[in-house]
Amino acid sequence: MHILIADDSKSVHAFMKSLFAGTAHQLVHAQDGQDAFDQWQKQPNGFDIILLDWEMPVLDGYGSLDKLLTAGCTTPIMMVTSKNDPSYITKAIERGAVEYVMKPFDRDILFEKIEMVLGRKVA
Amino acid sequence: MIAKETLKIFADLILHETGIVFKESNFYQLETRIEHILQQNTMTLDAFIRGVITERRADLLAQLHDQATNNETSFFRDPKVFQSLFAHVMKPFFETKSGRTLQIWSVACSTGQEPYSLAMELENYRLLKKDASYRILATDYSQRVLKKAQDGIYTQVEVQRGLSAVNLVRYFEKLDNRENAVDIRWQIKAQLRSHIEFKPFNLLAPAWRLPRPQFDLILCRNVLIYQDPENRREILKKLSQHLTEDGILILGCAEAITNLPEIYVLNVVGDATTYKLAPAARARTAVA
Repeated sequence: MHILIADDSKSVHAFMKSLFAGTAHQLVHAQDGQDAFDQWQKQPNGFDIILLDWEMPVLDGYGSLDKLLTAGCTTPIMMVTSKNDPSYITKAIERGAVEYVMKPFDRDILFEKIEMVLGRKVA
Repeated sequence: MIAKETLKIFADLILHETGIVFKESNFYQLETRIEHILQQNTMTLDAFIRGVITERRADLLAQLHDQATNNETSFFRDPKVFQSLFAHVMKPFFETKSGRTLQIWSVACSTGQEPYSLAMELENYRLLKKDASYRILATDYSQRVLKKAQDGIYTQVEVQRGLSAVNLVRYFEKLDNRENAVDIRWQIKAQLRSHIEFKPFNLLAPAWRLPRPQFDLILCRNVLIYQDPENRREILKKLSQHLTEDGILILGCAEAITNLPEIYVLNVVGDATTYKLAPAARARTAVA
């Protein structure tokens, strides 16, 4: 599985890497929402799922979600963010995010949510 | 380290009072759980033994029982089971028995995730079929977990286990307005809670007192696995008396009924293995 992860925090990238260590899945890191969009545009069928943080420089996660969907992205997009107000969750889901993970989370939660979306085992 | 002889005394006590079996091969689990109680109460093992065995202190006995029961759970645990129950049991009930209230019993509801998952599934259905009516009885032996179930308050980690974001915003309210805080708790909305009645209940009690006599669906998941064969048989017999004629019983994924052909027949629905009353037992229910 190919997973595109957009987060401006290096420690989040390292954490994600540790969660997927030992699995066969390939992680591609983007440093902000615009970078995620650019990486997707280079290979629109190259990812199984896109994970977006909300608060990022250049283009935030919601802006990136909107831009990706407007450009015709059909890859499932999941928000992974510390924004935990129901209004944010509703806003993201209504715009077309398929799931929403609130930080902090652990391996089980993330994998379960991805399984929920893709309908196949992650680990 | 707790001596094997001491663990045996506690295992016997737990077996006698809750029916839960701790074999010698699982004594390490029992030891960990007793050590947890000692830590919580900052007491020595000697004081704990005295408190439980000699003085029969209710607070310590309750903690021992709580620790003995495995309360591991999550929302929509084994999602395929919920999907199958909804598609093959609950939905057909409303389509064929219009006007009747679906009666469900979650026998060992632990901290409430099972009955709330059922209620969420049914509430989602009620968005399309407003007259679908249901009641859930949720019971558990442990007063501590039942209190949590009744309050319906969960940590941010707990509400992410097995629960979709749609169900989270639809059926929970955030109990704190701080944004981005990590220690936020979420509570089930009162409307959803109103469909569920929580009651303490001991499966080993000689006579079962239940607020309703019969149920269309009984969930008794991951309970029998901890009981010895004799108790298991007795519980299954009693459960059968609380099923409606067409009622469905579902056990945990690792549990099966193998020796009661006069009472239960296997009934696979989608991805879920369930049981229905055998013809002779159905006839008894019809007469009753």
